[in-house]
Amino acid sequence: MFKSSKLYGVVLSRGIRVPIIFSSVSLFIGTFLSIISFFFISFIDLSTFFSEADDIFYVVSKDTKLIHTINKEKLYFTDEDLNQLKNLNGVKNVSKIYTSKFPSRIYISGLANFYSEIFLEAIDNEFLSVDTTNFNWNQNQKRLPLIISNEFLHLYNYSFSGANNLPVLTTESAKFIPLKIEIGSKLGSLEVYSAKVHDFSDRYLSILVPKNFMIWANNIFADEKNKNSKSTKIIVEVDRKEFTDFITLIDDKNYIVQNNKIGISENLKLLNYSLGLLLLISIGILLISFFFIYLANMILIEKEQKNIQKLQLIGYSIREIQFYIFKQSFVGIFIAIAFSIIISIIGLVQITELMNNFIILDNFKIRLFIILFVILALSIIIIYFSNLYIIKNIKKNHKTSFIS
Amino acid sequence: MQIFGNLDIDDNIQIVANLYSDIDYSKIHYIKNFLNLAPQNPRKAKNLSLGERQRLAICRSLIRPFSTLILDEPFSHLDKENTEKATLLINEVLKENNANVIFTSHSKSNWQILNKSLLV
Repeated sequence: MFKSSKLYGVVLSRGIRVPIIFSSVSLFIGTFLSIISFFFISFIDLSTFFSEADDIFYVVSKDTKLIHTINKEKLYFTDEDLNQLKNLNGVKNVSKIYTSKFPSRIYISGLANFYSEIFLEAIDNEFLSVDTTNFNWNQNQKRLPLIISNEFLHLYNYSFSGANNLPVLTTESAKFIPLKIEIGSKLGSLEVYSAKVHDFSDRYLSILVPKNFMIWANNIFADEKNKNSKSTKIIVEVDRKEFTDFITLIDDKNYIVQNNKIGISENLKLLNYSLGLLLLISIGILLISFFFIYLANMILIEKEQKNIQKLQLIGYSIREIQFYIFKQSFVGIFIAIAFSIIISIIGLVQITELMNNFIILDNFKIRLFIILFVILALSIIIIYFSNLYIIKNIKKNHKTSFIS
Repeated sequence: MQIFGNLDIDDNIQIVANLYSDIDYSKIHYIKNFLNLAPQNPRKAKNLSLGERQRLAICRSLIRPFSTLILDEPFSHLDKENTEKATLLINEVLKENNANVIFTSHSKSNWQILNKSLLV
């Protein structure tokens, strides 16, 4: 004799296997693509979709030739150079980048032996991409606010911390670390400042301090011959729509553009749109697969109306019948979801390893966990409502057959 | 008769037996044999004769525990011999369960076969 579930299989067996297999396969594809696209989209700043900023910031310097290694004067930007740039069509603003002309090093407070030599830079606050409300300094202040490039944090997290058994830092946790900056002159005077990370920025690859501190510190600590406000680097704000004149001048003067943000930003936008499209398609596939599940259940309940009624009449409860239909529908679906999650994780690990040299993926495990949690929560919600739906339809069909 | 056409006799009985955890399988065998429902070649219920289906329905109603048995023309497709056998069996199971029966029939003879009948 058969077990109960096998008997159900014989009684309620007509024609739902094909739509269930079809929906399981499409569910597998949809879940896999959703996880992959959602995972990568979570790394992308969505504000780039809605950004109306038309300006690009370029860091410009002069080409280094052999002759300049002897005579550095040729590397400095003159007022004439700056004015020429300012007067170009499309150029909105130009500022010097002030670099430190004294040796300095940074360490975590209390760990003075564990230091790193650094150089500091400063630009006008209006060129910074972060909130500059508290990014300032006065001569009585022994605490320096710092704006650090995100690239440095990535470098620390993915290379330095691993090599030195140090903890990985987030942008927020890094702001709480007490730092010391030691500034020295060649004459022997030494000044130690407390420092705190004010923020992290993507715009400029450097460690920035307030401009007035840099001018003051250069006057105090730099050699006599270096006590000037000349700059070898400038930052230029250019209108994205009108940068032809700027590019022409760069070519004519043989200037070097250090961060070609235009290419990166366009590629990033294209990538964003592609991933967004992929996510939309995968959500579409998921919706279709759930529609097929709905259809399969409808077919089963409609075709087996009489047998369902008979089962109820001999003593089976609606919940027992519903559980069998649910099981029949969802075994394939659970396998599809589980399989797609496994394949996605393997795929993501491979992809991130391959892309590790090109992009930095923060908090990989946390993001993956969040995505899997969302999928699990959605599955539970769908299962719950499917159950309610199956029960409702069985009851409805039961009433209809008695009336007819 | 809530018989499942695509199940054979045993499975039609089993689907009812599955509802009870403490079912007595020796009793099931006894009832099946008594009603001559143990064929050599098991057939699906849709291929059974009306009489066989009727006996199968009686068998299924008797294997489960009950205090009142309701039968709607239980002997309608049975010949005299099978009607007598079924009546004997119903009486035996009723006595065993200390249960009542309510049944409908068009034949007066059927009313008299059961031990205690209330004619309406």
